[in-house]
Amino acid sequence: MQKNINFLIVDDVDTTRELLRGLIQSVLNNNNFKFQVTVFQAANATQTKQVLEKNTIHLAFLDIELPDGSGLELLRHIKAEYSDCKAVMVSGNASKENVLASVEVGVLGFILKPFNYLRVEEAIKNFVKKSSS
Amino acid sequence: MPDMVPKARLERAKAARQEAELLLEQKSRELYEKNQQLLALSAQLEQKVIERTTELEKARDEALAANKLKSAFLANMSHEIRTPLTAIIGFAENIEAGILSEQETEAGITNIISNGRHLLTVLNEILDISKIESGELTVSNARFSLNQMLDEIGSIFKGFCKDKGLHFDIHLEENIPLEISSDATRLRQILMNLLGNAVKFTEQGRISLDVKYTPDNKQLAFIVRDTGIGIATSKLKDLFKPFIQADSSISRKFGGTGLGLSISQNLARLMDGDITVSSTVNKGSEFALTIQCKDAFYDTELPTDLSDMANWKPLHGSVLMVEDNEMNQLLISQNLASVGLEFHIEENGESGYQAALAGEYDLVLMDIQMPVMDGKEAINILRAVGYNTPIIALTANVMPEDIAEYKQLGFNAWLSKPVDRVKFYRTLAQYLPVQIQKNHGGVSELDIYEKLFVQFKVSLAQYATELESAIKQQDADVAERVLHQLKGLCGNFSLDDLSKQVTMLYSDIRNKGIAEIIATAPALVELMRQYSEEQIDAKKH
Repeated sequence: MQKNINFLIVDDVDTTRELLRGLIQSVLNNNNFKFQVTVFQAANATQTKQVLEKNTIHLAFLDIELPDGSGLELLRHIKAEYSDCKAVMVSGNASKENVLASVEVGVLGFILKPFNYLRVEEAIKNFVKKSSS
Repeated sequence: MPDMVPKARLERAKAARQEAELLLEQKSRELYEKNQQLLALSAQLEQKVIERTTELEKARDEALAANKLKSAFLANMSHEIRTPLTAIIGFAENIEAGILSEQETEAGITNIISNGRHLLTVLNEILDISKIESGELTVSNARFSLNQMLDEIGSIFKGFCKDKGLHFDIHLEENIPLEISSDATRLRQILMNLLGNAVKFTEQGRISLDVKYTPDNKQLAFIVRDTGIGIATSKLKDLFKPFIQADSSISRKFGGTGLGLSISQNLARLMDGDITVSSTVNKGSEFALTIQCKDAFYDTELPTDLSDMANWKPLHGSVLMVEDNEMNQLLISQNLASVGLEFHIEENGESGYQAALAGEYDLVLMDIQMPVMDGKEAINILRAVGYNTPIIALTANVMPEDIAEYKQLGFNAWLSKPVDRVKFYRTLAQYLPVQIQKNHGGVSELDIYEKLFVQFKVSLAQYATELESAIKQQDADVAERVLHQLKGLCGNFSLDDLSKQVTMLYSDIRNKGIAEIIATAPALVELMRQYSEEQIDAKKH
């Protein structure tokens, strides 16, 4: 596994991104992972695509409801264009449609808002497991 | 002419004399040198003698000091031995003489026993220290329950502290193994020694024991804190030396052989650990014991029958139960509550997986047959989104092919309905840690069980009607669902006759269809109504 890992948080609400970034940070602090993480942020689908073009993102946290599109579309875009990038869905709505659609494309986790530390940790641990195997 | 010595002869004699003189001079110089050497040697010898003498004097002083120490130790020891012996002989004589009341006699016997035990401790300490001095002390290695040991030590010291008006608490970090491989006797001895000292030297305030575990190197750390008299910095270095207490007056005031800490530290080192101390006079002391476990276990010897239910260790954690049947919800809730678990109930797979994703549960119990979304679809979703919490299937279908399917879907284990309490506990205990430090009076909730049983028997009339109308309308789905629910419930309440019929009908409808049970169902419906009426009558009276 590489030493420098890039995460991307996609959410249209600034405070939500900050909150998730904080949780990710504490997961990294509490676990002794052997890599450095840089966290990128994007507030909508357009920005997300720009970030993905310019940087190698290894793990993206995708909000499902975005002002200019859907996180599910972003998920499909990522799977099609950036096969090495893993994704975790983030949503306030864990409806069967959302979850099944995500599962179908392939995700490492589904984080329900309000955030819960265990799920974020679980998602990152799944990422580490998948990346090192 | 005698005077006429030939000139040549004279010359020869002169030369010979000169030679002799030279030789003499050389020899005398050699002699002088040897003499000087001898003098130096003698000075050296003298220096050596002085040195040796000093060394001898020092050794003599040390021997004297050691002797004095051992004498002091012996004096102290004879005091340590004499005091309990005085009590033992005194009480025994009084009892023999028959001059004590019954109550006094009892107190006397208790006194004799406790003093006898104290003597044994003293003797063991002396033996230990002599083994340490001869390098013969060893530690053994066997698996034992750390929890149980800490429970026992905790209850002993809770008592001691209560008697002295001190607070006492034990705090264990969550990752402490249930069982470890180490030397239980020696570990207990060290902890008893450290805690005993803490109580002995503390007049007010609190004593605490903190236990930490580092999985990387299997190191256990026990930190004993007190708010006692403390130890001066200058005395700390001698603290672990045998025969020395921080102050000789201490032994007179507080008793003890002064060997305990020395033995404890030696034992800790034999267990690949150590004891360190920090202390402030009049504020308190902190002793940190570390040991290296040979092995650590998170599972434990679990109960195998219901008879010792009162001794079951309560479990710790929060459980999500996904189950649609109200009666099963109640029964399983009761099982969960009785082993000390918190829980939350969801009624179908859809709300179940959402609750699982939203909550912080340690375990999920998942029914298989449920409306809206069944347990299989729910676990499919959860596992697909990387949900790693253990999920146990609760099901009435436990044929080998069912079990294989549960495993394949990602269930960690399965429990058959009716729920067997021992198996329920054993299975949950594999995934949840045993609760520590909470007083739990064992498992007993007969009253609630009784209430549920009554409620169930009354509700049988309703099930009967439902089943009857389903058969009349040839609705196989409803009939199968009703029978499925009944199958679990009847078993739970040990209604064997009913259970037998229900099981038969359920297997018939499942394998052969609804037509197969049209003839047999009425008898069951009748029996159910009978139970219900009996119960209603009983309630009236």
